[in-house]
Amino acid sequence: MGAIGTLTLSGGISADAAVEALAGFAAGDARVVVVEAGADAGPGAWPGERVRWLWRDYPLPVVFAFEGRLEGAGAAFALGCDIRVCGEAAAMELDGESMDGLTAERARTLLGLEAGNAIPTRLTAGEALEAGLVSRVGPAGSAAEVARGAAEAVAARGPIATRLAKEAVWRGLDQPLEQALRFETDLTLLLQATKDRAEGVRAFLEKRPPDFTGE
Amino acid sequence: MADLVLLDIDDRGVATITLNRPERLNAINMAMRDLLWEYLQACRDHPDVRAVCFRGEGRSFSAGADISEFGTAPSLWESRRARHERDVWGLLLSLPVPLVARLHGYCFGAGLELPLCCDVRVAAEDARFALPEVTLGYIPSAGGTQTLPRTIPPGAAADLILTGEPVGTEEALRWGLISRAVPEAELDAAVEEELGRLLSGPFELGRPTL
Repeated sequence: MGAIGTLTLSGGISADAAVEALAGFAAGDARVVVVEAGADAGPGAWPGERVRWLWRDYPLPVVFAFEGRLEGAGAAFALGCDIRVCGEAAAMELDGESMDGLTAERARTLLGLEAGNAIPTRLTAGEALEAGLVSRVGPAGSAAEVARGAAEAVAARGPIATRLAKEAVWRGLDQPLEQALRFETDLTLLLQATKDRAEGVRAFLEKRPPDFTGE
Repeated sequence: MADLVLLDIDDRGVATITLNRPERLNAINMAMRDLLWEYLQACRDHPDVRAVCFRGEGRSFSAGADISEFGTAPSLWESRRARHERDVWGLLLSLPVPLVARLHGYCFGAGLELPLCCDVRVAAEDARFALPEVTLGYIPSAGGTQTLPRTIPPGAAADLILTGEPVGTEEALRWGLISRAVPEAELDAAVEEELGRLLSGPFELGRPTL
């Protein structure tokens, strides 16, 4: 099934190859992407522009799964994604000192830290869950399966709705609340003009699963 | 037919707004939105009101907006104008008194977005929270895409909003979606305690700031 694009960051994959694979998913039938941190080296570098590209410009929701110790480019990649999940033995290392500005800004956003506050250098799975940096933790070794569960939920939703929801959350967060609420209203009205939204309401009232076509 | 939303102001100045459509799990329809608009204006303008408490009659706080009314708006332009002119959620966010939500059962969609405009959320242990709008091909539109990521860690908010899946009180407490969870039998007492605290001293508004 092509609704979930899967990308593994290992085997010496380059950052450019990762970007190309993600662009391919967005151009095809995928509705959501699962990125798995590999056991061996991922992309050598994932600069702040690409972190921002993931949350701000990449249209599909991305779920990031990791086990073990996540650091460097892999951790930066994870920060750019929408949803992070991990196994209970995992840990995330964030080297605030060496982070570029955009990556540090994203880390602070996700951790709810004010500008200038120190970014914690290491978070265990439990600490990352407490902080909301990851939203789901499973038994060690189950991260990919947990990510798949979340991705299957996203893939079953209206695909225009999930794209606009991603945009509403991350682009809205940078706006003053009053403006952000008007932004949400306008995205809502845009959705009111879609077939999927009519199908979603019809299916609910007819008590059957919706058949979203992305129109 | 009983009123779909009730307003009662006690002698302490606590205005209690009750969603009163229990046979439909307090699904919020247009008539209820109109009543909320009216009552919230009254709370804003009434000099004696010192706090507002929201509650739901029956088994749940509210299962969300009344979906059977969806698609009945005259036009997109009219919908936009109506939302801007009667901005219930914006009015709620701008009220100068503390707002407390008493939550139990389903708190889904608008049934979570209304409490997200409040300062304090106290829940029964059985409460479930979700923004399931994407399951119907739309997005939260009572402020949820903006208030949730400003209330709980935004990555956790993105999970709830993108998957549409519910969470219970454990996750809700962990991420600060609610401040307390108690057995349902103790819920009224816990809400009273919060109200007493808010009425007796200075307080900081806990809601996202406009």
